[in-house]
Amino acid sequence: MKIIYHESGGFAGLQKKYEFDSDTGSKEEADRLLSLIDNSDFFDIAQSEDNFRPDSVLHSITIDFGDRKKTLNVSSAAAPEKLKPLIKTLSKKSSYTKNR
Amino acid sequence: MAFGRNHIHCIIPPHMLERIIEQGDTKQRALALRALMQGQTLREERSLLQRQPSLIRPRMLTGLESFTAKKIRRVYDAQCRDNLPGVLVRDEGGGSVEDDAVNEAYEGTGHAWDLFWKEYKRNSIDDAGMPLISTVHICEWDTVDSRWEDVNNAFWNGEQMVYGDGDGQIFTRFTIDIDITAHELTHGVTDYTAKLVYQFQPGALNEHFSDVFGSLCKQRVLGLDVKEADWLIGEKVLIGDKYALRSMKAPGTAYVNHPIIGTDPQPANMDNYLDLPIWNDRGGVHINSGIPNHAFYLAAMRIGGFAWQKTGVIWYKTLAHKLHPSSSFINAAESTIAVAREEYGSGSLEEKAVREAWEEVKVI
Repeated sequence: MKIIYHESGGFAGLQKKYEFDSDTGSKEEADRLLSLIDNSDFFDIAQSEDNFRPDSVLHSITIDFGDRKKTLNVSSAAAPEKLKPLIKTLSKKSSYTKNR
Repeated sequence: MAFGRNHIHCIIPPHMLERIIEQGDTKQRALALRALMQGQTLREERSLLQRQPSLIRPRMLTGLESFTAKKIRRVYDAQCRDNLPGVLVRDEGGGSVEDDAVNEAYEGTGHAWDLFWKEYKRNSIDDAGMPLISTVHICEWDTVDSRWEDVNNAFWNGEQMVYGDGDGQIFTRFTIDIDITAHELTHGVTDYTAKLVYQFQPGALNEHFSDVFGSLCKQRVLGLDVKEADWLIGEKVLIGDKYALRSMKAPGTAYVNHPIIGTDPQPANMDNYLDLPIWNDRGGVHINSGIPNHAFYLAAMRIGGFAWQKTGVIWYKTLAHKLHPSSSFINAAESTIAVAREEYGSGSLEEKAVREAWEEVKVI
């Protein structure tokens, strides 16, 4: 399982990133993330055209798992409730991209 | 004409008019009947004015246009929850409270309203006296640690401004900078004017206009001319004296080697435009805004004086009357040049200044 999380936007326009690969990461972390993915129904959520409000934070989540791969881009305000625990977990694990 | 009396407050009650209709002479009965019919309309209008106090229009001053715009500010406290608007803690005309964030939101929106009304004759966000609603102390539920946590952000949600308090590590409260408050309010103005779509170049322009009027609001409050202004956006919100969030004068230098967030990524011209995908800051709207921001700075420096005057007028009229949802940087350049020509004449210093500014950032 591979996860790529990218967070951007907000007034400050900062960027954060987190990546996880179950081939190199801990089993404990993999199990926790898998549980969050299952509970969020990630692969069943439709990518909708979110009415993105200025200076909202944007979350981009790509999950590559077995024969399924999907990317969801969603703002904080429009995120489905079920997805929020996964978003919060990935956000807390992410680090700011320092640019230069 | 009776300027001193408000016609809305001078209606003879219907039961008296009915008595006059029964008992009065011919002329008295005719006047009373007409007043009874007019009164019904006026009572409906008064009810509306009570609900919408900004619509104060003395209507019966025949031949005269007299309109008083009034700001209506309401600041709410989310009390570290995420329900909007929250609890009303300061209403228009209410005195200062102990909460700095509340007072800053109140004063900041007032200054932004003043800029748009006094300099550009725009009556609030919608040009129709829309109340200015702010919520401070917004929080977000942390599902990992099961607690409400502070938010490192301020935003416009389509109806109001919302401010977080910052995490205390990287950011302090987002009401601390006047330009942030005016920036968010200007997103509302853009919603009611050009409606620039929040992605790629139109989105970067949306951000740009908010930075422009955010900066102009700060400069006007402090009385700074173009040489005295620091041209920084968010110089207090980032913790640490040597950091701001953006620089219109020198994009890419607002924060350098910050231990957590690194260095300001904004480009100053099209050579360094970042072609980002939509999932990355909606195509880099906060990043590529550095290019038109720098054009504004260059135009303002060439025109001189107070930037909210001539240069601000050009930019305001461009936003309000020229641009459309999918406008690009080139559209903005062409439109500002056209407005400068219309306002100040063909071949004027102002037209030349605006054209050279866009040339220097390589948009044209």
